[in-house]
Amino acid sequence: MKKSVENSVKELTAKAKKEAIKTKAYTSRSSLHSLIKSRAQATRFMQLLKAAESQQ
Amino acid sequence: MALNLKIDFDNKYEIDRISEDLRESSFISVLSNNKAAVLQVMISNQAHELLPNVYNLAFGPLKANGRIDDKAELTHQDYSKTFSTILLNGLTYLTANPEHYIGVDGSDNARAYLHYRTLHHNYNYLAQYFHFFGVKYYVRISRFGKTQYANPFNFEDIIFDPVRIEKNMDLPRQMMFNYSFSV
Repeated sequence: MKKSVENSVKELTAKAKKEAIKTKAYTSRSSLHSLIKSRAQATRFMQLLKAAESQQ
Repeated sequence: MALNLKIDFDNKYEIDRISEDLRESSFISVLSNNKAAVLQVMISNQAHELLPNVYNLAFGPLKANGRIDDKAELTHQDYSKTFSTILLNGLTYLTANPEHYIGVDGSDNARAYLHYRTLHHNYNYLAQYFHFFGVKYYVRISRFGKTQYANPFNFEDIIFDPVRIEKNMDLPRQMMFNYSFSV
């Protein structure tokens, strides 16, 4: 990682810790979640993702 | 909207506010009419139910109900700077949460195309920081509602599998990924 980018990431992380602002829980894309509720498919997705990750 | 954005994490707006968990932040983007727009970047606190470890990243102005208006049409003075700032937020989050992925939803075909073009145009730069995957499944179906599909609907354009987005991948505009995510 380029040094200046690394510094930007560190500065932002430090700012977040310093300000200590808490987030509220929110749910996005709940309509998507209810579209197909299949954990089996999610598991299969992760297997495929791992396979895709290992591609060069 | 400009298409050839140049992502550069050294060309960014100052972050005004960022939450402790790095999921929410805001900054001021300058619009083409020189007015300022407060943009919120929000990373979901819940992983996508069907995409484990994938957390949706949304950005835009806030609506009165506190949610992000991801359909807002703003004309930014410097799109590259605006999107670089948003992506730097994502990079910061991923640096602190290396086991997570961040997902970006192309809320319509035009935006999906913009994301894809931006990714390709900046592939070498972004590949230093991210790996990219695309999914065409969820949004393309749900965009019209759970039971309403585009008619005719191209079921061959629905792929459940995550696809590694490579530098030389060339997809026609109407076959875009609708959901892409990075780690």
